[in-house]
Amino acid sequence: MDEKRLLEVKDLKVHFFTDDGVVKAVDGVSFHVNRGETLAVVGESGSGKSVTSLAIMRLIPSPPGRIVGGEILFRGKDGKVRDLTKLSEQEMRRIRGNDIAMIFQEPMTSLNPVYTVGDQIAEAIMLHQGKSRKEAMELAAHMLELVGIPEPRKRLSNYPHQMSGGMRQRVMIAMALSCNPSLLIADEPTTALDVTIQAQILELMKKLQEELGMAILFITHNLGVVAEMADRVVVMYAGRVVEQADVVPLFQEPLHPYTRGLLRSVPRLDLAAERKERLEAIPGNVPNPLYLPPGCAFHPRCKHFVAGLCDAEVPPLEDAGDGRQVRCVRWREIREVRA
Amino acid sequence: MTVQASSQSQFQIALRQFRKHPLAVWGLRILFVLYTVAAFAGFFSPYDPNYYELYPPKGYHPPTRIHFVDPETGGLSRPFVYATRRTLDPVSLQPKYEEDPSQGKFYIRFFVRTPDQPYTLFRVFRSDLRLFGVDPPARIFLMGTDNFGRDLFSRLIYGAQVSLTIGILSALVSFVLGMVLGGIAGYYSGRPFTLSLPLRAWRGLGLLLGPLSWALWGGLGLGALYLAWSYYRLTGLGFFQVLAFLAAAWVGVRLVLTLPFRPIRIDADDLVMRAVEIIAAIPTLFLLISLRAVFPTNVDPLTTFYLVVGLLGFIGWGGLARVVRGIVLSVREMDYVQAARAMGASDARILFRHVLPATASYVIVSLSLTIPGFILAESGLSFLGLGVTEPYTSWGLLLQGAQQGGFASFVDRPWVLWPGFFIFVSIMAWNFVGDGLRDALDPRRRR
Amino acid sequence: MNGVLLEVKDLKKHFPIRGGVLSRVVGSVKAVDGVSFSIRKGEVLGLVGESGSGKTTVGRTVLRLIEPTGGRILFDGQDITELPREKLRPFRRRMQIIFQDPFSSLNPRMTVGDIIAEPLLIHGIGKTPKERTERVAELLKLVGLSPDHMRRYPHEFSGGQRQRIGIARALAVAPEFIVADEPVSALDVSIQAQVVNLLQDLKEELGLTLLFIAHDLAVVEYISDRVAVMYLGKVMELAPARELYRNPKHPYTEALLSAVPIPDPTVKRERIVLQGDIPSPINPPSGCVFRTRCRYALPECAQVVPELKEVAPGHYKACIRDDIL
Repeated sequence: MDEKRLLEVKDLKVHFFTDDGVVKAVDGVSFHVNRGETLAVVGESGSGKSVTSLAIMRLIPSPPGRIVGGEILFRGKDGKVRDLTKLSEQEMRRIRGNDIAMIFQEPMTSLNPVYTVGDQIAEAIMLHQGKSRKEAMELAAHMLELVGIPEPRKRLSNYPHQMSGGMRQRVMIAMALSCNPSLLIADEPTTALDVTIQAQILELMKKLQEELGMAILFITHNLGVVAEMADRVVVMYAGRVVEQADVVPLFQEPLHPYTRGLLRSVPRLDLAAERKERLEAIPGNVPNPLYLPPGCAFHPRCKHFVAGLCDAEVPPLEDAGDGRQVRCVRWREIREVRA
Repeated sequence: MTVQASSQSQFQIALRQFRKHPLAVWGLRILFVLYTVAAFAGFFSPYDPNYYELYPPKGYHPPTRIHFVDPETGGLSRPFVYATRRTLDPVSLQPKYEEDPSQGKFYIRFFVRTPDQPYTLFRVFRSDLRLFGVDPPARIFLMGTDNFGRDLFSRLIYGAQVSLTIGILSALVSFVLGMVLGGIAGYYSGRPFTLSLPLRAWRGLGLLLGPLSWALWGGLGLGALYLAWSYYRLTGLGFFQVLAFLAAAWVGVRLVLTLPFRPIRIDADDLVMRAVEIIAAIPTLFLLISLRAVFPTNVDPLTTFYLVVGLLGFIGWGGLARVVRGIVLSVREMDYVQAARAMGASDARILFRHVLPATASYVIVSLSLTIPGFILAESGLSFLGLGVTEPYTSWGLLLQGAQQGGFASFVDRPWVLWPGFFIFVSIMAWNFVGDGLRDALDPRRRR
Repeated sequence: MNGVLLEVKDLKKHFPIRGGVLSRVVGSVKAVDGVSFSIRKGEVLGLVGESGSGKTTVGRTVLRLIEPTGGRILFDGQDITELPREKLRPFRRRMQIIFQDPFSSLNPRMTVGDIIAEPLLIHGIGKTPKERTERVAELLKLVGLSPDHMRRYPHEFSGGQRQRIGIARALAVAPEFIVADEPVSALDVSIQAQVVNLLQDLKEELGLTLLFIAHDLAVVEYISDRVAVMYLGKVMELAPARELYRNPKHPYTEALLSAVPIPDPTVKRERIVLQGDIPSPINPPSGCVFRTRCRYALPECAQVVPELKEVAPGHYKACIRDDIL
């Protein structure tokens, strides 16, 4: 693995075996995260973005889910590269929280309501760093200060229900970062929060990344948040990566019809003056993962669809120059159309 | 993620899920057999349950041995029995029965008619066709006899009619009470009913309802005073008597001070839930026995049967009401109920169309899981002699008969324990079915 | 004002908090605390605010799904604040609601056809089942679904489709006024635009008046004619949509707008990050409720509750400082 790379996911396949059939939630996903960068994974419900993040943490509920193929290569703090899919549960526990930490969407349910915030942070520290309770509490207070919680020492003895949603998400971040992980997976960390609180949390994550230098795998459906946070972006649709690029070229010249449609369908505040009369909506529905359309999964909703071509077989993920990748057989023509 | 392609109804999904639970499927099969046999009791039992012979007596006859091998030829033969001869054990004075081959072989015959012992099916159809039997003077007692010499197998089948239906009927009574009271408590929680009208509201319809409500409350107040008075009359003056009188007086004064000026509002939720708590706070068996004691014991057996059903139902509705109330409280706030209100739907429509159906799956499961409890409770009650009475019989009553003679009865006549076995089997079957239904109807448990 | 369909005057909703053994009222949540606005016929009024601002309570109180604690609601000139249930029924035909959560807003045990036919049944529209079925089919087509969907159950549909069913149900009684309570917040990004477009089309086609409640400022800006910004149960600012976004006059609106992430990595702008959280509506700050997080706050802000006053034609704000923005 390249020295720069911290995480490399290769052809990952996660399937769920349900009564109604096999759901290929993640079907051959590959991407990598460099040290210290922020990679955003964008997608709608059913795109497989959250399942991918859970697979990296090896937290897929099993049954019915199972990683059925692929590799997840991760460079640990000790410099060794391991395939996370092959580690034992015990080895994985050492990596979770210590090397890779995760924050979730629901700040309400991801903290245990019966323990104080201090206890919960200290527990993680004691577990991974073998510190005494006193030292751990000391560090916990320091972490709370770091995430911008006023009066951190007093807050240590608070219970989660005594805090607001934004505060709780800060506590989650403090807990996640307490062991100084090299990768932070943030699964829709601001979706449940109000815009003004979301702005606070995003600022905080940027600041902490500068100070601590961890890489962030940022999972979201909000394109505004992506534009703000990401260095590179992976766009997922129906369990596959459809486009991958640096953030600026992706927003300026999206190649995949799905990305283009997505960017055009959201109303934008900054373009209020020159807005059009109607939003350019993508027609149709997000496909049911049990009955994915043949060929390119996006073809029933795509305005560039060509019968016999798009629905024949799954298009390969092609290189499009400048480290960009796109999964569309017609991307060259579509690019021309725009120019 | 929703499933678009499968257009199965909820029922089909539940059915498929239920089939995946082998114990539940077996439970259902067993119940099917038990209930069928109980329904056609006359056909399946070889004798009338109350038939016995004075001479020769057949008390405590062990299960009849069925022979398949012909002693003369040594080869297989149609199943047959021998007639038996009764002797008394000289030491214990217990009857002993010995086979008497001298009277010849009595083959077991199927679809026999017994004109001397007719029966009625479903209280309507008279018949005397029975599934199997032997020619007299031989008898076939599959599970032996009781102290009078009545066929235990036949009595078991007739007992099943009572024991099994009492479970279902009591569950239905408690289900109706629980649904209605729990539903009202939940739906009207926080919206108290006005149960009296102050003088200023005596207009229009109030002119009729106002005095009516006063009469109700006045009656309640007078009732309290009368109770206190009778207490004093019965027991003489003492601390508690004064206390009761003061309490009654307080209620009266409060009513006089409140009625003309303010409406009395009562939250149905409070009322129902307090009632549930009071019932739950008293030990069940104690409550059953004391309630039973209120009613006379020398009424006709059928009335006793319904009385037991009513009592069991009355005791069992609390838990159901509590859960139904909880579900209703949460469904009440669902957007689809709000949508119905925004349409201008009436309370009744919302309750019956939107709120109560949401409790259906829980209620079905809880119903199937409470039935075994009622079967047990009936057995307990009958065992204590407070349940159904002769000539009706039930498994509990049969067990009571079994205990006569103390420990010796189990050692010398183990067949009298058969009713216990059937209680056990039916309860296990119901429990498995309940488990299966829960798994089938609860989407969270689906695999 | 002419052509006003809905007028709300000083609307208040305080939810009592009960505590103690006797469940006495120990306080109240001031969810809505003196809100006034009016909507003209055919207009879309956007109502934005963060969670706890009371915007949803306003929407439901206006429809009398929640009983107001104080204030007046005038629908088409008639005071409906204290109308008894029976007298309210004719109004229920004229005003409807669309909900946020497409999963809890449809009864899972009813078919789509029954769901949409229910309001018809309640109001006696369509005498025979056949007439009603025809009307349901018509409504399904109107919202972009197929009449074949009538026999299916809600769980067989995706979020966007369910939202369309909810819209069809609201339209069944041909209402004049609809409260859209966050109708797109729970939907996937690619579906939101479809539903917004549908609402826009229906509004034009049927001449609907909408109260559009949302926390997504971009969507509200897009669909609304005028926008009211709420914070802690009070209206902070009310102005024509474009005016409000281009030229916010209230410090809260300013901060709110700058907090919305723009889907363009090349746009760099100054962001005003509000400190702290929304205070509790049980115990709101004295004077101006926003002063605890406001960067322009003066000591006077704690003294007086600012009135909503007109600062430019049609542009109202509740702030004592005229020297800013």
